This record gives sequence, C-alpha cells and structure tokens, in this order.
Amino acid sequence: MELHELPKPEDLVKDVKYRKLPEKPWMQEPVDFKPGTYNYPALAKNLKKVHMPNPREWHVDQQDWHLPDDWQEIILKGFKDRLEKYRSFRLFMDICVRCGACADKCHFFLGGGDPKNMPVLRAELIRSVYRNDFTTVGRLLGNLAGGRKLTLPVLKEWFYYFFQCSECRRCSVFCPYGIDTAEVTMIGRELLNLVGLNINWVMEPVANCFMTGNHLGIPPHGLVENWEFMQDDIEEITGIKVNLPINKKGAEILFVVPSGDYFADPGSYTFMGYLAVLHEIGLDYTWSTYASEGGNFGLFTSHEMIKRLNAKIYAEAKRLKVKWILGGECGHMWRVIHQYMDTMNGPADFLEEPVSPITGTKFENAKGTKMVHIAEFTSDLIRHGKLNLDPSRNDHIRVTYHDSCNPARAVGLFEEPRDIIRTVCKNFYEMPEDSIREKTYCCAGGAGLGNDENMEMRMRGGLPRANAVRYVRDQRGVNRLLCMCAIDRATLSTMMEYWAPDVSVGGIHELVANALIMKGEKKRTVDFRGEPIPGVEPDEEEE
Amino acid sequence: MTLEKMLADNKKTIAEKWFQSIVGSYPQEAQRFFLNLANPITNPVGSTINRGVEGALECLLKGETLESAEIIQWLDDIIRIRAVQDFTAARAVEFVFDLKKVVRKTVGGSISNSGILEELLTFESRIDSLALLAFNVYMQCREKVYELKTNELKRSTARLVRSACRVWESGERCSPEDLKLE
Ligand code: SF4
Ligand code: SF4
Repeated sequence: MELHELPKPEDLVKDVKYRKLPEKPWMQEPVDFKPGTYNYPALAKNLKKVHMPNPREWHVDQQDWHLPDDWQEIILKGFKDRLEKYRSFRLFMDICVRCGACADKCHFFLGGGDPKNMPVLRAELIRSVYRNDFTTVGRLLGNLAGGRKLTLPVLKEWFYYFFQCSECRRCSVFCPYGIDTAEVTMIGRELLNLVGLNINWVMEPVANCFMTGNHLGIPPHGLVENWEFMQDDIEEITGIKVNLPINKKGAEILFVVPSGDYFADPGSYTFMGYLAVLHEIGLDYTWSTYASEGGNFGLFTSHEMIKRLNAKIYAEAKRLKVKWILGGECGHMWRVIHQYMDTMNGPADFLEEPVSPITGTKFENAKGTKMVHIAEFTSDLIRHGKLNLDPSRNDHIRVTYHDSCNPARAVGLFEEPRDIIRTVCKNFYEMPEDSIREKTYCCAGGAGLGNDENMEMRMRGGLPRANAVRYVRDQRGVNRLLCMCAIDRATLSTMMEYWAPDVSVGGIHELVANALIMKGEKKRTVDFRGEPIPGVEPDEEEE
Repeated sequence: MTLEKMLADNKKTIAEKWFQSIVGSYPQEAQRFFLNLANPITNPVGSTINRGVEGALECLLKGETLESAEIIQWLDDIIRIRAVQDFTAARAVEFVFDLKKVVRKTVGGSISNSGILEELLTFESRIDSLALLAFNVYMQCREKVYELKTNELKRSTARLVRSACRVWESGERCSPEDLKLE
C-alpha cells in the first residue's frame, strides 16, 4: 500500500460535529449561553428586599426573560440619565480610538480567547448602542458608523459579557486615554438592573448585608458565637485568651472586616491573626454586629447601592462614638472607601483624623474617610518595633504575594503588605513583573462572579494568575499564595486546586500571628491553621 | 534513512506546525495573541501549549512508553486549559490527532520505501493510543471541575458549620438552624 492510498487523518474525523468558529462579524453573532460560563439570575425575594425593579423568576437559558414591555425605553432613558450624570461615562463612550492597547490585557480574554472579552470589545457592546442612539453620525448612518439598535439579542449579550468582567481595572492601566472598562461595566450593570437583569451571587449578599449586616445574613448572636469559637482556637494554639470587644460604646476604634474572614476557611486564620495582633498591642477597639461586613456588593450593582451599604459602617461608627475606623484585609471595600466614600457619604466629620494610639503615626491619607487599612496600621507597628516577632515560625512556608486588584489598583497599597511579609517570613518570592503590583492579574471571581455555576469561566480567567504562581512554585518552591482580599482567599483557593494543587492560599495577618511572640504565651507547636510547625516538638508533659 | 531519523531531523518544524494547528482551533482574533511567544507570563495559553507540544513530542521521539509520567504531564498541561475552554470533549483532545497530519505533511513526501511506511503506521498508532490517554486526562480535569464546586462550598461555610456543630454538641443555646436566617 502507498501513502496516498491511506485515508487522511482529517477524513477520519470529518463527521464529528465541532463547535464552529464565529463566521459572522462579532456584532451579529448572538450569545450562546453555555453552562459553566454564565451566572444564575437573582431570586425575586432578594430584589424585593432592596426594592429593585422587576422581581420575578426567570432563567438565562430560556427564551423569554420576562422583561417589562417598555424595557427598551427604560434602558435608553437610564442611558441618557447616566450620560448626563457621569462625565467620565460620556468620555469613555466618546474617546476610544480602538488602538488595541487593552485588547490582550483582560484575563478572561487571555485565558479563554473570546474576542468579546477584549476590553475594547466589551465596551463596544454598549458603545455601539450609544453611537446609534446618542450621536448624530450614528443616528444618520447607523451600522456604517458602528452603531446598532438595542435589540433583545444585544441586551442578552450585555448580560453575558458585563457579568464576565470582574471590574478589576487591569485594562485601564494600559489605556493611553485612561478609559476604565470596569466603569463601563458598572454602568452596563446599572442599566441591566433597571429591567431586573441581575445575578443572585450579587443580589443575595446585597440583600443580606442590607437586612442583617453581612453577606450570609447571620444574625448577631450567631456572629458572636462564631467569633468566640475562634477566640477559643487561639487559646488552644497560644495559651492566651485574646480580647474580643463587641459593640463597645466609646471604644477608640471600630474594626470592620469582610465576613468571609469569619465564615470561611482560609480567611478564618486571618481573622484569628487580627485578634491576636490587636490583643497583643492592647488596642482599645470594638467589633460590631451591625457593621459586620466590609464587603460591599453594591459596587457590583449600582452607585446608589454602594452608598446605601457603605452608610451602615459610618452610622455604626457614629452610634458607638469611636474616633476612627480600622479596616481588615478586604479587597473591594477599599475601592469603595478610597474612591467613593468621601463624595457619597462624606465628609465623616464626626470622626477624628486617624492616629495610631500605639505609635502616634498620623494617617494623613485617611483624613477624609477616617478609615485606615490594617496593612498600613500593622506595617507602621512593625516599623516602630512594636511587635515582637519570630519569623522562623514561618520557615515551613514559602510565600508569594498576589496584589489583590482593588488594594493595588484602586488604592496603591504595594509596599505595606510587602513590608509586613518580609518581616514575618524569610521565604518571600515575587511573581514575574507583568503579573504583580498595578499589573496584577485578577482572581477572576470578583464583582460577583465567584459562584459555582460560573466555574469554567473562572478557571479560564484565573489562568494568567495561576500561570505566574506555577512559575514561582517551579522556580522557587513556593507553597503559599498570600493575598489581601476575602474574595481572593475563597476564589484563589479553588483556582489553585485546579491549576496548582500544591499551593495553599491565605492572608497576611495569619503569618503575622504565627510569628508574633505574645506575652505569656505557651510554647507554640502548631501554626494558626493548627498544623504542626516542623522541627518543633511538643514538650513531654503536654503530650 | 529511518523514520526515527527523519522525525528527529524535523523535530522543530513538526513541533511548530503542531503548535500552530492547535492555535488554529481558537477564534481568529485570539490566534495572533496566542502565537506570540515572547512572554510566557502575558500569554499563558500559547506558551503552555507550545511547551506542552515540544515536551510531548520529545517524549514520543525518545520512544518513551505512553504511560510515562512525563508525557502525561505534558498532555495534562494542554488539556487542563482546553477542558475549561469553549470546546466539546472531542475538540478539546483533537489536537493529538493533529500530530498525524503534521507528520505526514512534513516528512510524508520523503517516504520512499515500504519499510518506512510501516514505521509511519506504527508511529501513528502510537499517536492513536496517546489520544486515548488524552481522553482520560480530559475526564480527570472535568471531574476536578465538579469537585472544585463541592470543596469551595465546604470552605466557604467551614466556620459556620463548625460553630453550629459545637453549639449542637454542647446542647446549649441555639440549634444550627438558628445560625442561618434562611
Ligand atoms: S486602550 Fe483605550 S483607547 Fe485603546 S482600544 Fe482600549 S479602551 Fe480604546
Ligand atoms: S475584567 Fe478587568 S481587565 Fe477585563 S475588561 Fe473587566 S476591568 Fe478590564
């Protein structure tokens, strides 16, 4: 037999039906809602709790989304209002020159290859409608000028792709015009909300936070029990019963952390870390069962909702008569505080300009919001030698640091976390330059996307971050990925399980607490995870 | 001349063409980004696939047994990515068969005697077996995706469940249901 007589390999598989590549131009290609890549709709009960429009039962994969009859008018009116209200939005609609600098900067595009996940095209989804309805040239030329009508397929496409943007702002770092696609997404979601298109992973935390104070909707007595158990755990590890001041009127400082830190592992170890550090320095502070959530999923809903949820923290600060607010290792809380709080609920002039009672340092950067990030607070303690530390207790941990998007890009907190990590752990290795600091890659689970129905999309979007972690794992033997955000601690854990199973995830204050020598403590044989510290034997009488 | 020698001489070309054919399975707009191998950190899909095909090809040419941990690892690197992308199962592992096309295109013209042709058929049946292993890897990745959901849920409420159990065991205060509003 000769070679040419054999069937060709491609002939053998020609009957297999593959998904075809898009053949039509992107604007005419309707969305194919494939399970694993979209988010489930918000439940009616959650919309009702916060008085949002069109609460009903609907399903993404069904044809009829039960929209109000006049949905187009509602959205176009909302569009017009926002163009008038937000100058930045109008600018972002007008000034993109389609230079492509942002095209390959989004982790969802880099990990999946869907062109509509290029930031420029994501914004184009809405910009095309803007051109059609709000510019003269678009009104006259329509399609030819890159405009298109707001039809049902277009609306569905918005829903798919605006809930495929984690609002991380990586793309904005590379845009020569400073166009922030995350803000375009935010407006896109606001418009979708007007006709009742929202996702449950955003609206349930919003409703719970609004009604009860935290994302899981746990009432005060449940919280207190939960916190007390962690106090017990610390006692088991260190022999010390740490302070746990709750709703204490007249305390100097109110401390607010994301609820993920006390409901979830591995955030819980960070929570225990806060308790240990704040006890050791003897800080006069208080927890609150009302302002029990640093996270603000209003940020993923609407500007109005950001304001409503953020206001609770300040109302509680006022009620408890504290001087200022300290905030935990949360991610997007800091974006809200740094970029929105002052103009939304500020000025917080009933509070004082934050001063560390331990070191006397004035946090001038927090003059307006009166809220200080714990990384700033703790790195200041360390600089002033206020913590007695034994970093060798972290010798079994080889760390790298993921700059969580919001503390990094929205607040610029690059050095403080690194200062702390270097002091409490001898083995710290940076990931490659293009994946850290302001260029950090997102965990792909922020902005409400960190749910289980969206798992495939998360794994795609998580690939760039995971790939850089694998690099330091292979080159430097890294076994712990640190981060400064509760969503990260949850979603990066899952991401590592898929992409780099030998790397665990945790927060910074967990390592601080491991290293912290507390007055009167017993011999430490386990770390804050309760895992044995290698090379340290328990004393015989303890066994 | 043996097939082994022909393949070894053309290893680089074969790896390149194999890589390009895999990238060809992605949307056109993405291809040019995935083909750019200048920086593995900013192009994880392209660079991982490229490393994977080079590694797997090297193993095949060395005549390693198909079950060798190394070759499976190279396949795993590629399939782990494709298993969560917009591909059907068939499309996700089809790239293994692409190697046959590439080999025939690259060295087919120089096959001059039936001895080498026989060698080619043997080599191709090794590729077929590799494809079967690829299905195994694909299935493992998909199973992992389902496991991720369960494990994530467990972690996300770990502390709540723990305190509920402790309260329950102690017989004091409230029941686990009290800890959750709804
Ligand atoms: S980088 Fe800025 S101007 Fe260039 S395409 Fe992207 S959004 Fe438009
Ligand atoms: S996910 Fe991040 S990089 Fe991608 S479009 Fe949204 S803000 Fe930009």
